[in-house]
Amino acid sequence: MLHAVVGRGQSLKAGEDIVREGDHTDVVHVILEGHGFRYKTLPDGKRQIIGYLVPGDFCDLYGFLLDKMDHGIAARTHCQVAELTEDHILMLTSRPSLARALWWSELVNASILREWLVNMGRRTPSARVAHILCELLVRLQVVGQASADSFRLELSQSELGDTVGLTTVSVNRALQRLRGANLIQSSGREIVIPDVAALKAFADFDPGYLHFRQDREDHS
Amino acid sequence: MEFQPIKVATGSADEDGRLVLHDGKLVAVLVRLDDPNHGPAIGQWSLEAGFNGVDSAKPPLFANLAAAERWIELQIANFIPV
Repeated sequence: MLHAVVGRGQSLKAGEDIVREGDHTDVVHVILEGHGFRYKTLPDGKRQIIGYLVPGDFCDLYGFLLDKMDHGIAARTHCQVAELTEDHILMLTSRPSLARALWWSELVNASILREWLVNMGRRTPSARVAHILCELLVRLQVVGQASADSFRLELSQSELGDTVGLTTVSVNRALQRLRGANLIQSSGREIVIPDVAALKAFADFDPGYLHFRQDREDHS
Repeated sequence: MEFQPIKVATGSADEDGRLVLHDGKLVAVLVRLDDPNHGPAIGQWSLEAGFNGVDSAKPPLFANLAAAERWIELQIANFIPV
């Protein structure tokens, strides 16, 4: 459907901004291929990553309504990004099943943000990192980029730290603890989870906040 | 400032630490990164805990204790008690 509306989209290199913090955007960006993240930058240069984007995710749905973006969106890997105009969005929302899919998408975005807030405020460093790994596993499974128990982690330890509010040293030790307990195995960027249920239990991970609805996916 | 050697339980090979005292009070705990997992950061000192203004959401690593002392002094000098 998206391809029919917007074609192949634009190609972005890893590290490039899809939308810059503070800019106005006239279009809505959708990740067709590749991974990205949302972030905010502090005056002293520190960065907080506030969301991950995988193929199919809207980066800035309805963002054209705002004067300027309150956060930036960057390509983590090479990305293929579609641009939808306000007219495209109006066209999509004129069909009830697609309108519902867009509302659903924004509700899930907010839900993920709430879960991340809980993660950062109320979980230990190891459980925080484990929770993020569980989320990535199931989100990447939905888009066919993870197996039942493994995926490629497209994030450095520093980026993981910027996601869960930890230093690189703490992330490193958290990953070591997870490896030590055999909750994860990793070689290079490949993360293997020997017992997915055990990692989810350790991380207190309940995928309910992702609100997967197979029928919704089929409609869109 | 006074640096007292202490072993720190970090669950890793990083255990050579220092209690940092300022005016006789504990203001920071430093640990030397010795675990091979730290890669290029090995040998540097990491701020594990800081008190009363000696903190940062993302503290730097220190090449040596003198560098750590300079940073801690700066944190104490710039501390706005709120």
